[in-house]
Amino acid sequence: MSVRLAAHIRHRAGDFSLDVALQAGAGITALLGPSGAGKTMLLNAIAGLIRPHEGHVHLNGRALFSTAEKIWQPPEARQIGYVFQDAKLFPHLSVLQNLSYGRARASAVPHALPFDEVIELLALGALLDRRPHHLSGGEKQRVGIGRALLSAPHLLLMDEPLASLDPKRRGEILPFLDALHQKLKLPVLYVTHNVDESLRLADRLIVMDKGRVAAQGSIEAVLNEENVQSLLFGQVGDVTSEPVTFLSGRCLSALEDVAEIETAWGTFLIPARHIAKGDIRHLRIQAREVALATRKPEGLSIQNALKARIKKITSVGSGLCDLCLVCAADEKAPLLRARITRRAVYTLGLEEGATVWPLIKTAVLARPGPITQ
Amino acid sequence: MNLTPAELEALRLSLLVATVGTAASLLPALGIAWALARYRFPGKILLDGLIHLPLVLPPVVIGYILLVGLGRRGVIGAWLYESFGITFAFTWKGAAIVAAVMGFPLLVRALRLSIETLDDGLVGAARTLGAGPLRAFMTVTLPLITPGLLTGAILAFARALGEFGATIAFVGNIPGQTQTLPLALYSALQLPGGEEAAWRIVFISTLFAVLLLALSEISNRLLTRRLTGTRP
Repeated sequence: MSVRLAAHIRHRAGDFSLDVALQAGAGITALLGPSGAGKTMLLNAIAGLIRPHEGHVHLNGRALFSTAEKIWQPPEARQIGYVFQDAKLFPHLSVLQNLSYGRARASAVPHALPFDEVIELLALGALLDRRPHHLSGGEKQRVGIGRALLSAPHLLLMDEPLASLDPKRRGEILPFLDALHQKLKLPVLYVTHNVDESLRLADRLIVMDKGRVAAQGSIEAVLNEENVQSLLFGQVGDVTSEPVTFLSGRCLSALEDVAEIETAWGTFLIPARHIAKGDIRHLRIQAREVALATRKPEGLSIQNALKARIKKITSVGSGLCDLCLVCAADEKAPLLRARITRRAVYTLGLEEGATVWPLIKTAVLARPGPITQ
Repeated sequence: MNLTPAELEALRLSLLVATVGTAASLLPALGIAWALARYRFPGKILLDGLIHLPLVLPPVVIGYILLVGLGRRGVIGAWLYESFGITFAFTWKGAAIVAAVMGFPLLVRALRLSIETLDDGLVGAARTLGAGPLRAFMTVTLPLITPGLLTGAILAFARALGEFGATIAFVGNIPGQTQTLPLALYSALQLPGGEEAAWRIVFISTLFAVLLLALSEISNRLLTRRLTGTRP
């Protein structure tokens, strides 16, 4: 990753304190965290809408803000596009006028996107004469994204652009975000509290909690961390929260609706459409959906049998056990988390260090479906 | 119905005084409404109260205070006269000052309300799109507070047209100089057989009041529909 944005923000507001250092390259970096983690405050500080007490913001090597160097650039000088949660379209202007608002600045720079290209990318052609209050929520967001893109930003900030939409509208917007992702080589900071959204869109992940960075790095590395899982899915080792394993893979070949995916555990076949060679997919495996065999299975419909070593068995109450399984020789490979009954552990004679064959149905390995809250 | 030249003059003066008075108070009212809506500062309650005084005090008291302050022998008035040769007492300019002072609270209230309901995020959005503070104000803030500005201005203008007590106390009742419509009506009532003249003035005052109300209502409807797509 070549660093385009480097920032360190320290800010206080009332009892809340924000202290976050982050880096982002081209592609989408998701800022994931519960409400109140300080995600929006961080975006506002990077955009220059609030003035942090301390820190710096460097974009493409240019200092936009630095308390050490006594630099403060106002938001209009930063060339940072901002897509707000509730779009913030100007109600007294038409869609076309909204889209054109940032063009004054854009016309002066060489990297400006052609107007027609953005209109086509976001399918805004039919909306141009309308006023914001005659748009649906999804249309408003598309206009908001278009307006930000047309101002020729070097960085795009997106603050939960899907949060105010119902699942159907969310499904409408996602293909546009995918297209954006593929066509533009722009760094994007994408704030969300939705894990599925991050899986679908992000290249990198920064997890925030209470104004601090809890973890940052690749999706696979970050989401498999225990403290991240506790934060996002509930306390690890508790029966009420189910552990999840995240596995990232690259598509080696795609044939009709089956794709061959190369992961840290080896190669899998998964049912997948709209996937091309070289695409990255993140697989989400719920612990309950893993079955264990003590011998190499044969004659099963399950196609993705692994060989693994049991690293740890933890009783989580209610007659259930969580198992941690090592599936690859590589130490950096994610551990597979499985949840089975204590009775099964006893009957199969499972113990730490033993070898098992975890069975994961390929359907489970498919790409996450439509994003839900 | 034919107005006499004196009545026409009173009408002309009324419109002049109300227009100048309202126009002159627009910018200060915007500034103060902004400060009251957006900032916390020491003396804010005092300032708020001071601005509302003309609404609660008897107008004659306001007129007398203006006379003491801005009259030719008044504290500020004497200095203005000696330094610049400006005099307000017993001139139409004084009447315009009365109009401005009496309409000021109405203007500030209407503006403050629309500034308070203005979404700050829109200005933030404008800034991230490359607009400096001035352009953001002119292209986003100002159009969005225009309904409040218009409502306040029309109210203040109507208040100025009807102003009597403070005007007569500060600038007197001089035909052709300070005699606005209400003062002309008062004079007509003092004269035996002045009923006919009085009715003409009543008619013309009512006409303007109704016109202003209609204007206020229509502009408000148009702007609201333009800004929100709904009917008020």
